[in-house]
Amino acid sequence: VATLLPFQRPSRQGEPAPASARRHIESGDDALCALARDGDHAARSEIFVRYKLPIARTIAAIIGPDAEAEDLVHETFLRAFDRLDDVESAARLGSWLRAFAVFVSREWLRKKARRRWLLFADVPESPAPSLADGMRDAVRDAFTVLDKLPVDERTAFSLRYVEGLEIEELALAMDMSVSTAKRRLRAAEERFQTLAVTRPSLREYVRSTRDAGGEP
Amino acid sequence: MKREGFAALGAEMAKDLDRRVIPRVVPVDAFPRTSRTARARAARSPRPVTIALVAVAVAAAFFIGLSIPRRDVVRPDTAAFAPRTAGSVPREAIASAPPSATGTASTAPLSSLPSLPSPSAAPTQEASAKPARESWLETADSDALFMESQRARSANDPLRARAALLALRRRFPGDSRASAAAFTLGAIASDNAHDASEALEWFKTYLHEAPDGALAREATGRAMELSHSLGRSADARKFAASYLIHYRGGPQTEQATQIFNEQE
Repeated sequence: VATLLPFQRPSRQGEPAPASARRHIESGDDALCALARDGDHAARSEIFVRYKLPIARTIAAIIGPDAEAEDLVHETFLRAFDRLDDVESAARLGSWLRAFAVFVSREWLRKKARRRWLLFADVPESPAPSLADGMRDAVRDAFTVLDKLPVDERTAFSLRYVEGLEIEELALAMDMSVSTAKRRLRAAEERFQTLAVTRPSLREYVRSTRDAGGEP
Repeated sequence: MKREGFAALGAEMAKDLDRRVIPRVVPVDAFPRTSRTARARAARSPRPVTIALVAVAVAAAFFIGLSIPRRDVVRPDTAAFAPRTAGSVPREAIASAPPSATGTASTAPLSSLPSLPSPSAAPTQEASAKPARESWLETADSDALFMESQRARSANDPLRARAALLALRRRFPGDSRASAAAFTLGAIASDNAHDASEALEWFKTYLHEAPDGALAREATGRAMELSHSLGRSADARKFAASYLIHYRGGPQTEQATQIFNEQE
């Protein structure tokens, strides 16, 4: 191949990609959806480029700082592309993809929970060194506490507080009613408070939440 | 502090994820790399009539070849004209300079490469040719280095091709052919030196420098194969996923699907 196609498309590091490489860069989500359903790979790639960042954030918020996040991003898109016929409206492509990412992440968390007994101990990765010392401890402890929550409660808590979703968006992403989402979130907060109160780095957050009257 | 309690804690957790996880998850923009024509060509399968015609032609050529009596031709010293085979190249020599992790040009000393003996050259000529070649590599322009690498590959001389390509990348890192040289170096390391680790690093370097390059599909496929053969299953799965997203329908789709599903 290197002999047949030696140096046709030169590219340099840091050089912006040619606009022709993204043929559908100007297309709207509705056109992209229609093309992607017909198997247009350029349209699928454009959807990937457009939504990979929010999807990566959602997955990272749910599963935490795990090396598997990258795999789950790819898996979300691969599985979503096979189910594009289920998208009711292209205007909701983003929220549909997010729901898919939540589904894939919850499934992965359940698998991880089943495998946990095989592991001797989970060694949490250290938070970013740029955080202040107190904050680093709090963030590390928070992820450790989240690991002890049931999958649905952990997902609800992460989507509400780490991802910053409103309760209606949370319900849509978790494919449940608003009232069920509220119950899950309330249960998650109570369990998180019970587990977090024993950790000095998290006491201040628990106290201020209680002072504010629970879920803000 | 505007937010209190869990909202403030969650915001700090999100910041931490943005610093640690997101740059790892979304390293570069991935663009479609296959043209409509290339995809159509890949999807098109040969017709049965074409296959039958080709089979008949091959059979005819075979029988015609058998029926013609072979002439005894007096040939000159065939050993002197035989092309160098891959087996004659010492593997250690080719794999002596792995690329750096940052994808910059390797700075392996060219003197570490063995000389390229010509069957007809006298030892004294060989000794004098080596420094001359090295100095040429240090003074030639990028076009000459590129042409030299192409000529060397055509002559089945991977050592000479490798030296020219390394010089091209080291001396002209901004040249438009520098990234494609990384691909060719990966091909040489894989096909001639059979050094999967070095080849994998070169293909990664190519994908890093030219994610939308003309050889990106082949580089992704080769990186997937090499990672798999090296037992780096996580890497292999990432390359397989990338291949399936961007090049589904490509020649390695089946292999990518298999590798991706292996750890399900």
